[in-house]
Amino acid sequence: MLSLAAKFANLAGHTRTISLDVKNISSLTAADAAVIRQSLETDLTRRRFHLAQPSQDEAQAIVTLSENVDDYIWVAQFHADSSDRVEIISVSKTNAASANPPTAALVLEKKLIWQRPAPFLDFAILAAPAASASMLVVLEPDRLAYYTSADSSTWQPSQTIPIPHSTPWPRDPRGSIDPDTGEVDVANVRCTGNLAEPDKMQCAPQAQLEQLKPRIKIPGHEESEMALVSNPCGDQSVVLSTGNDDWTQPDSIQGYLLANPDQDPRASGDPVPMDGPVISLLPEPRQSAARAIVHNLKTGNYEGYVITANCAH
Amino acid sequence: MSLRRIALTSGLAITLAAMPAFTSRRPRYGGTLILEMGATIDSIDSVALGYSAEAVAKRQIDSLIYDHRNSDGSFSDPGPFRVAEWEPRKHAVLAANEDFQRGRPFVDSIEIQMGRPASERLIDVELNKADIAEIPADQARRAAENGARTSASKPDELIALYFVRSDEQSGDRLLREALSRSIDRPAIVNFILQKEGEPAGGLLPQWSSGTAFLFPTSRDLDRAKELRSQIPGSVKIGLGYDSGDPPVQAIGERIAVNAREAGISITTEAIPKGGGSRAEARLVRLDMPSRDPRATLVAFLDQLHVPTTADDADEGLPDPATPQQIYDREAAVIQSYFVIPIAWIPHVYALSARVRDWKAPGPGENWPLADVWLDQAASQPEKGTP
Repeated sequence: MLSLAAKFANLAGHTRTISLDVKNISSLTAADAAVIRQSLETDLTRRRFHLAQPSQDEAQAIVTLSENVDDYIWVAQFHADSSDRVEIISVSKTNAASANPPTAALVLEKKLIWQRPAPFLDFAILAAPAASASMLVVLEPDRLAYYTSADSSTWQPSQTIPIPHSTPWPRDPRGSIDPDTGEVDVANVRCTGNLAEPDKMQCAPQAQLEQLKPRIKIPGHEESEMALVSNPCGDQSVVLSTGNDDWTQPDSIQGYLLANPDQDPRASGDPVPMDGPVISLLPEPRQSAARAIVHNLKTGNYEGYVITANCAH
Repeated sequence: MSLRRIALTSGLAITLAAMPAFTSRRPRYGGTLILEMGATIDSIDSVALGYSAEAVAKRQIDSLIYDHRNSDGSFSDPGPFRVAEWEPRKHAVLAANEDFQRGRPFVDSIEIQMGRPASERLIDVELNKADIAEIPADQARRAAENGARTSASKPDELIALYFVRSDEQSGDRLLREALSRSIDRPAIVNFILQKEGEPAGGLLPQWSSGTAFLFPTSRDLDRAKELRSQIPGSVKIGLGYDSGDPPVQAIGERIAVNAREAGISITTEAIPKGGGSRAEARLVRLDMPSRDPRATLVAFLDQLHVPTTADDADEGLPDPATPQQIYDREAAVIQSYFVIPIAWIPHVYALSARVRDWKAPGPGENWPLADVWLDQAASQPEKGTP
């Protein structure tokens, strides 16, 4: 914001009384745009500008909150003394994220753990033993990649374990990590051992592996990815489900409460929007959370999230 | 398995069942996809250069049969498909490469019909004779009204008028500006393009640059007449267009009508493929080569041979360029009126009911045919020569 105010100062020269109009043609919410306007007005006042009502006599400034293919684009048009000037700045979308708290009972939160341009199938965070670093295991189609971190946010590569296969994988290989058993499955290959000790992992082809899925029916979501997770709200079960579109569409994850197996699950809370299809959704053991792999259609990256269900009373 | 454990600890008797890993939301393998295109390609071994429809189509096919593009524009490494049949300028069959390193494609093969006229491609999809065909944007509305599935890219093709020979004499500039201001772009989009697109005032679309709104697109006939009145004598402009492009022809004729109202006489001229013309101006389609605004602007200016202005003759557009630098360069070209943007239109594809996971490719992207799969439960295209 300081940058935009500084641009105004350059454009205005000696002019100190201006009328300001802020337009929003971007995907920012009206609330976010209002915050930006307020911040800009504050900065301009601090720079000794006097904000006036629009009139023929005053210099006119129009700020348009726009966006391009990558970033927000804020455009300042300054009209004074029969001349027009334009100044443009770009603002990273990650720096301008909005935070609208959900209001319903089941509150889903997403936390980005890992992302990379190429596909990966699953990931697991292994809790740090005392005085040791946390470990992140990322299941890529051809290998297990290990990372360590002292603060569970900045991950440093440490080791990789190849997953041998004699024939090409299917175009959409599925894979999963079971942190409890240490089993890692990719297509028809299973790796076993102690997940926390990479050197002891052994991979070998298996007969066709089957995947256990909860037989829960949510009307309209027969083909969705689902994960049954522990309930933070009490007795009812919690099911997390993706949408039903194919992999060309942005997706979302919705929480459902399941009072008993004979009833349809009931949607609770707001869905968590994703910037692409959710390729995989797997439950975290003994937690009210699931791991989601998302193909971000905006960036092209594959992203691993932990989706946590909380209870808002 | 952890799922079973969670079910037990939740106190609910959730039935667990062994189910196939793939549901119908996930892709399925098999089938032959039939694709129709208007372009014709002579040789699979030729190197596609330039921006013609044939070159663009050839590059798309190259991307299916080769996995890597070299720095000199040639391709190497086997791609997701291999050529099983090739009949020059007519049809080709691409078979799935079972050993493709990033996974075998979902469909068994792709049958490509070349040289299909635009007017028949949509009909073929509607009649289940084809699965995917690019159709003219102005047909998208009719396709949707007839219940056809369509898929459109963002507006990424610019229809623009540019002056082949220009000089910096003030009279010329006044004339170019008068012509630009006389054009009723919204009417062209609404009536000729059937609302499939948006009026263009700049050389970059709003979604790519974020600054297209700074270039006005509304008609200003009074100002056009005022500018025209400053030019002595009669004014005539020859406007050439591709004789095989009916929508562009219609746009050219509408521009001539608009210009006449401002006192500018325009003679339209259909230019056959490979033919010459003495027309001062041309009406052309410009495909964005990239979603990146800088790359697109540089490519467009290169294609149109836009003269550099005194301000940027020495420096050009830096790489990378800031949004401010891109806007400044774009504005300088627009204000010279050597190029007059008319409309942005999307690439529109008609799809059969069984096509899944198709996403209209964006600028610089390839057809995602290795990822497309066929829902065998939906109706199958009829076999046979269209």
